[in-house]
Amino acid sequence: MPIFPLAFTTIAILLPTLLHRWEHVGVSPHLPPKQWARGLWSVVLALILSFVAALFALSIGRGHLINVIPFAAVLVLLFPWPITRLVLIPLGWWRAAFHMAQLSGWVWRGDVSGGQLVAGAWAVLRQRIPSPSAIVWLSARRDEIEPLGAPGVLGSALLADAVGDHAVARRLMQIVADFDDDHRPPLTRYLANEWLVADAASRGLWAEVELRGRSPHRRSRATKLLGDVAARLIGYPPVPHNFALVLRWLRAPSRARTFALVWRALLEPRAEVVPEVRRPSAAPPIALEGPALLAAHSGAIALGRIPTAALHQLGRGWDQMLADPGVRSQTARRALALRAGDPDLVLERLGRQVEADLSALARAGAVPLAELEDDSKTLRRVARELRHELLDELAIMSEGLEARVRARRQLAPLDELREFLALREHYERVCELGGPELVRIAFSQIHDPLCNLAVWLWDERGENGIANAMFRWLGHEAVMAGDEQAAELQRRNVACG
Amino acid sequence: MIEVGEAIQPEIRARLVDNPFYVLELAPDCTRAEVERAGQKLLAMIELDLAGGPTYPTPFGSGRRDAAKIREAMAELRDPQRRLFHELWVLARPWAGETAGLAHADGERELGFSAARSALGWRS
Repeated sequence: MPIFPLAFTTIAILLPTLLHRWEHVGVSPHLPPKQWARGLWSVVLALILSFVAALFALSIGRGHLINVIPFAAVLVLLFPWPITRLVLIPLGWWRAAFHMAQLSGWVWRGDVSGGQLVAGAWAVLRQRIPSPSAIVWLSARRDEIEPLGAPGVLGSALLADAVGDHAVARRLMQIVADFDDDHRPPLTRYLANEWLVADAASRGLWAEVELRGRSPHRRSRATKLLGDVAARLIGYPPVPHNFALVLRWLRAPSRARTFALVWRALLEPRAEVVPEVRRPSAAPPIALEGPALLAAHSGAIALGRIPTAALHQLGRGWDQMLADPGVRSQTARRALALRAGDPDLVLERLGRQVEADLSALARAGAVPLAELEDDSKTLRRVARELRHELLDELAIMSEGLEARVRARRQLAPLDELREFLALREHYERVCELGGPELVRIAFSQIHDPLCNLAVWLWDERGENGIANAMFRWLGHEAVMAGDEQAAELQRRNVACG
Repeated sequence: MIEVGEAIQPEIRARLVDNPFYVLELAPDCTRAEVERAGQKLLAMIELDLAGGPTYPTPFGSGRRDAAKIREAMAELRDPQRRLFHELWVLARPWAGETAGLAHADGERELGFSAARSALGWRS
């Protein structure tokens, strides 16, 4: 037997196997894994397969047509991700996509199990009706992934989307952006951005579509189109011309589906929004009185959400009504007829009820607390109560997390991430509603529990990717809250890698 | 455009629908005897499973009642102070068109692009 084929076969089998094994168990316990070496085995394998494919192609060229079969097999092995992405996922063949993605080590920078989860979950999403058994099977594979990296989180988000839990899917997709580049294959950021653009467009949040669709990161042609359409719809500069929009549309896929949207954007006049021409605030509407006020209040509760101006109108109306001596005497007369005792008790109860209702309306409408403190006494009391309520809720969540971390009661990595995201979401809501004065207080409440959680995940559980994302977010928030000590601590934590 | 926050708590909305005057289908100026009579009649209707027993109309849509809710409503109206409080809310009667210009927040929401997920390859 000639020596060359024998040596080549030996190298072709041994080298990728050795590299693959080194990636998983390490070359030595004293040598840390190198970022550039992640998925290197698949690059070496691809080079060897390219050489083999070239040999088969030459052989076919010389008339050995039987070699078409191994040539096709080598091509499949050579382009596992394009075949998964362009064939298996659109067909909804989740099991084939899951297994084929195993060969795409380089695309997922070594996190092959996470990449498999993404491929399988995406294929399930493409099914007309997502298969429940597939979701259960993939969820079980997801729970086996340790540590959970950015591809695992992305796959979990797609699974949440497949079961219709869009809010969780959205939160998980957003956290993918917080992963450090060392813990995040470039494809995960790209896919998360694409999903978030689609999600924002489907909900009509065009400002977010514009922000993400025209970001400097890698984007698909469809995302670029949606970004330009959004800019045209909301008038965000530079607003694209008709010609540029049509050109984008022609270059994008799914032209039939996007035609109506592009047409809608073309009908929109090409005008940039300039802050200087913002409409002056309208004169305060007349305060409501008596039955009209009660009717408006009941109607607002029935609607569930009202504009801020209407909330102010109600607040001013209640200020007048609760202080009106006519209302008190009328209530007193009715109390006398019914033998109901002190009418002030009823009016007090009415006041408390009104404040509770206005507080719920303010929360439902996400009205900033500063806006509630304008001119109405009732709304000022509502703002004060809401401030305490928001901080109390945050404190309860933080203390619960802190107690669990101290007791070392561990959850699955994805559940740890979910708990972090839930606390983060509440913190962001407190900051959004409370404004700058609440940011520092809220941050001081969440910093220690979340930092301890991230340190626990890093030190004892090896969940470096998730922990790093938490440190990065805490560092960013520390800067926003002006807590230099915490910012420095998080900078050191992030620098750990 | 108003920002979308949390959904309003269902118990706040339920408070409007579960006003004892609506539950017993009585006017706010009814007498104590009328409260007892209406309560007993509705309890009998529920017991006999007659049509019209389990549901009642309100300005906020129809509500559902059972024997417990009817007894609770009767108890509320027997107490003069609590009755006075409920009277204040029922006197307003916000039937259609009386919401005094309060716009529905959803009406201000911009239109979304429902085919976005399929256009970007996330759905078939």
